[in-house]
Amino acid sequence: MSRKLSKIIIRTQGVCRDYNRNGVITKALRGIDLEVVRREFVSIMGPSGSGKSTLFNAIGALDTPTSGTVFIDEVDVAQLNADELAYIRCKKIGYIFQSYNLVTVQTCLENVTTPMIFAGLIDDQARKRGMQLLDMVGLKDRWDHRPLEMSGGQQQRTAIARALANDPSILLCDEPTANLDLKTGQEINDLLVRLNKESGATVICSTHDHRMLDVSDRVVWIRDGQVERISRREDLNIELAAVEVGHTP
Amino acid sequence: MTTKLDLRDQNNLPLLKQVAIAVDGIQYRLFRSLLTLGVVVLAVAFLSNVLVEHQIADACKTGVGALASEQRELGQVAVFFDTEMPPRELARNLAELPPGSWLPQSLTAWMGVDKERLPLFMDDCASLLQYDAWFDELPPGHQRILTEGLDRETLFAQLQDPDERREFVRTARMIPLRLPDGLVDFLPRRSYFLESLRRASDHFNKNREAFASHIEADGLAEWLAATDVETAADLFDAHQVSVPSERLEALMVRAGDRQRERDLLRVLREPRLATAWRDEFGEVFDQRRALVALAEHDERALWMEERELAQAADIDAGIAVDAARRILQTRRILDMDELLIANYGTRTGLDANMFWLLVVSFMVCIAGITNAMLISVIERFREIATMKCLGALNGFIARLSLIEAAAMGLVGGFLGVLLGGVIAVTRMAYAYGHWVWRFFPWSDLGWGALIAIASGLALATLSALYPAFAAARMVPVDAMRVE
Repeated sequence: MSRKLSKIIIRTQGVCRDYNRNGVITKALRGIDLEVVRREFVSIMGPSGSGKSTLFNAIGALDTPTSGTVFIDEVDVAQLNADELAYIRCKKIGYIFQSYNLVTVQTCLENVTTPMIFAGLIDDQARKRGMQLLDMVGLKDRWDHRPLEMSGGQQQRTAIARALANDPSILLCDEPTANLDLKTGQEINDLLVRLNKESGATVICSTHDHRMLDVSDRVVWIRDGQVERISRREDLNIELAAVEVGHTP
Repeated sequence: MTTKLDLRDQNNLPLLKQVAIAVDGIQYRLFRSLLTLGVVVLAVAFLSNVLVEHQIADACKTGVGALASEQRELGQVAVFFDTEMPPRELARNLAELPPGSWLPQSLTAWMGVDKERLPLFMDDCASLLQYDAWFDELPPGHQRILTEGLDRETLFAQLQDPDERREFVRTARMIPLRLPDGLVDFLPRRSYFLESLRRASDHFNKNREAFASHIEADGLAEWLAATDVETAADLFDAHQVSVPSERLEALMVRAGDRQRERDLLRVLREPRLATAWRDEFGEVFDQRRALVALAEHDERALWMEERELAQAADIDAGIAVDAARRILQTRRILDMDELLIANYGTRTGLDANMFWLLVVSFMVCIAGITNAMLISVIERFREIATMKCLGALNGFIARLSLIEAAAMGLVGGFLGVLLGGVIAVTRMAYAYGHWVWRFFPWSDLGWGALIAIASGLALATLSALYPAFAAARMVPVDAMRVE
């Protein structure tokens, strides 16, 4: 790449998002300023209704903010047309959803190779890389299963493999463990951490899962559409202890 | 952005791959797909049914019509040579000839009409009769208002005058009465034409009488049956009648056949035969049944010959069988010709009513398929939004919907053509029997099938345009919404 990579991969400036439902205006985001550094593992924490998902959508170029700007790799997302947005979604960002969002009519492998085909890879290459990715998430022998024939953890692992298809620099995870039991949730967490370390992808996770805090470089606490505070990992153990104490009668 | 070029490859995604994805979708939503398919099948079946029926009807009408006019040719020709023709009679006989008949051409010398002017002359004959008939069939009240007490000829003669003609048109409009097309154009030359028709008739009758005095027979047919080709050709030449030689030969063959057919019918009318027939075979005797029996059983004809029942007409068994078969065949052809004209009119092709019915049925189908495809898009909004998150271009999403619809249009079109075609052919074969197979319009049907399948394809694709557009414009954020 000829351009010098900037250190900051995602930057938001005063991002606001209003929802207008039947004339009632709800302010989901009230001016978010955030910077995420390359290779960082960031968790976005907050109670439900705090605007986590809205922020996630804004960062992921899935939604347009009412005001404010989102820069991905120093590119203003609002300036991009539909095809350029498609390019960003295809190559720069891997999405992982709470409800997996696999295409049910396709096999596990087909799900993983779809983004590669969108990116212009030919079939054989796509299959080869798809199998490598499935091997990496430990699903090599389930490649020809349909999503509905697999467990939640397996589906989420397929989704992670799919998110990695085009070697994105950002992995956006929207409550990836919310639909999973404790053990599988832990496995997914471990997988994400491993990916962050191995492939060097920036991981941004919106989550309720306190186990995530352990592994995050930074945690962004959101409340009422605003950044409440940002804590670094160094400070976290103490805080976490406080949380644990707070919960214990 | 130079980088976005990579994504353009989506447009080059192998068509087979796209079709495979679309077909997967069809299988997954089988019930709704079957419903859409059903709509296409019914629409195309209706179209192809109407098309096939008309094509078969047209083919039969043309085929049987040609056979029938061949059968009628001798009679039509003979009329011109056998009877005195006053002007209107001449016009009527000329107008009633089938289009493209060789007869008027060969009679131009007799009528004293230029060969170049003949088409116009023939047209005017038809016009004269048509407008006179129109006038005569008007309700008496309307007639009275138009003529103000005059008779038809006086009125039409008066209408030579442009002022009178304007007045006439105005009166007609006030009644109100629709004048037939071309009447106003014809009126100014009507008197002139009547005059030339009278002259032609005079000429014709004089020449015809001279010709008739040379044939020593009851009529042209009888004379042709008895004479040979050279004599006949010589006589025609001598009287400036140019009969094409192949027509002359056909006419003479037919005249001979007719002679024997008439002889057979005369024999069948003999009471002696009827009695003997009843005694021998124990059947009620009538002409039709006897003809069928003779045509089917050679032994009946042999029996007739042995018992010398057909002696008077000098008919042997072979001739009797042939003649009986020919009579029955001629009757069948003429009956079928009448039936087809009664059922389908003289014109070929689709009529306006049918056309509109087809258009309306297609519009209903478009609404139905659009609806079904919209539901399909809504069912898949999550899948579509996910694909957009993975980097699918809007065009790719739209194409997927269009391919799905086109695939169903193609399959539905094919099934529809089969269904509609089979129903139409069965119905026509049931109604018109072996004529359908004899004049089966293979190549027309092939084209018709292609047209019908193409319409099915177009119908489905057209209907899917809006849903495909809606799918392409879907926002990917919808995929996030937890169900």
